[in-house]
Amino acid sequence: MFTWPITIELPEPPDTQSLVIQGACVKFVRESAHLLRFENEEHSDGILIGGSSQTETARFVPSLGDLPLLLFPRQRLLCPAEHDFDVFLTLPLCVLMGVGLEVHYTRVMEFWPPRFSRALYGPLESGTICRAVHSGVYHSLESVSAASAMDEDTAEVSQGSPYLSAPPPAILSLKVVNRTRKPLEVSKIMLPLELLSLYEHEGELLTNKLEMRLMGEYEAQLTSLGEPMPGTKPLRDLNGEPVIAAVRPMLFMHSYKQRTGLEFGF
Amino acid sequence: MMFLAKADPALWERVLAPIGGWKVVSPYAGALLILVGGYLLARLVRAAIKRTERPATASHTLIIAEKFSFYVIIILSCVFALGRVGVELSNLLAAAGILTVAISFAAQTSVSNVISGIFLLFDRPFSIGDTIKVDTTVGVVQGIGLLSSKVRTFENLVVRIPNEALLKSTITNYSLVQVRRVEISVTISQEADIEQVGELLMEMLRAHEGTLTEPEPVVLTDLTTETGVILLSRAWVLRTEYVQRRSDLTAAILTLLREHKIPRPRTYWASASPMVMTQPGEEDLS
Repeated sequence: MFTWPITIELPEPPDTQSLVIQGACVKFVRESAHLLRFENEEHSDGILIGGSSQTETARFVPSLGDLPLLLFPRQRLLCPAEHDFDVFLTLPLCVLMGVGLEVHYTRVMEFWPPRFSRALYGPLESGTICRAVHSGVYHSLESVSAASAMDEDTAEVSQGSPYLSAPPPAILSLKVVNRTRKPLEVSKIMLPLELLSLYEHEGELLTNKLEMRLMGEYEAQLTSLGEPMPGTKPLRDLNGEPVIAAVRPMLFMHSYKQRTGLEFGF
Repeated sequence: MMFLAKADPALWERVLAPIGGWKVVSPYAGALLILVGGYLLARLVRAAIKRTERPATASHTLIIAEKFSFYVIIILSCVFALGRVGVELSNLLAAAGILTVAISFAAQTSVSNVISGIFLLFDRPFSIGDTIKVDTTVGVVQGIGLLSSKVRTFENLVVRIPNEALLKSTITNYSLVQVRRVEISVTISQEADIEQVGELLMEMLRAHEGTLTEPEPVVLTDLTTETGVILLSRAWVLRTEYVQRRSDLTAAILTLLREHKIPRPRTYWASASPMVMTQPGEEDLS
């Protein structure tokens, strides 16, 4: 069962299309053959979206966004010396919207989860701005699904797809490996987007499997282990092209603690 | 020109005879040609460098290259032109030394500005497009000249600052970092529950849309004064959003304190330095 992408036919004027995306109501009105108006709570006067006469459908695909992710597990992970273990973490997704026809879709906007925060990874003077993700830690795929089902309130969705109104978070399967002689704790995981791609399996979104090899007290190496499980299909972009992550390993600081500026006094 | 070229050489000799003939004039004509050629070449090189694609970071380097190449070509042309008319380079250098001393006395300020400008170009305390503060002037750097630099303020006024003044001043560059810290001091009455107010502030700072999750926000008890207790709320925001976020956070803190009926002190309440956000008023918030 595959749920993405979601394609919606835009009605002929004077009809309108109302949808619930990421829990917020939005409305599309085709002003003319070349012009689409988008309205939501924030832009009640509407945003005009230009297009060609072939702008007949809107397509929605989930995306991890355009910022690297800085993942904070809600429970700290402690990996004993010379051990490894598997955990599952969740990553909230945004929804990309494109307009077009068949395979010629143009990206027009993105819809973010209601709570979206950023974080700086690295030194104050030269760090990287990331999307901050606080994730629950689960021991199995089933436990993630059970928790997601309890968390998400899809009952109030009246129109459109429940996947669109409250896209379930992507599930990240992470193998933590500690080959050192000390137990090591993980407080954060820096995930560049180049290392992640989305897959779909029986209606659930998963990312590629990652291995986090703890190199020492602070440093870790992240490597993509490929598809999350046999039979999963990589999710396609707006124009149907599969998006596959690079496999190059990446080093990062898993215990990096950013100072808050207290050192500068009052 | 064609007419001159076709003219009888004997005629030229006759015309130039009073000033010593073509042999005497030719070095000067050559020198003039070198000067004009040098000037044209310098302009050509400057124009070519100007036309180069310049990302924000490279514009400063290109300006240095532009000015440097222009003046080097002009100076070299002058040296060759003088050589052509028989001026010895060693004599020229000696004269240049004397000239420098003379200029130093006569145009002390201008020379100082030029030298400061050269230092600024190489030291790079800021680049074109950076937001800087020099003394009381805050604005975006529009250009760095040899004598002065131009800063456009946020009131859309162009301020010309002499390079010497820039070199002597304390310059704050706001464009070098991605994140900035907002600090809002909140003064509450001594009767207020400090711990509860601290927790409320922390919760609000963490939940606020614009604050960064990391570096974490922090609330500190700073001072106890006659008027009340000062709590410092610190949160990190993106540099580009700093002014808006500081305003949002100040408003959010005032709303929070009102909603929870936190007793306020007699004189002032919450301020994002240097702005005083509220006026002296009643003891009771409700």
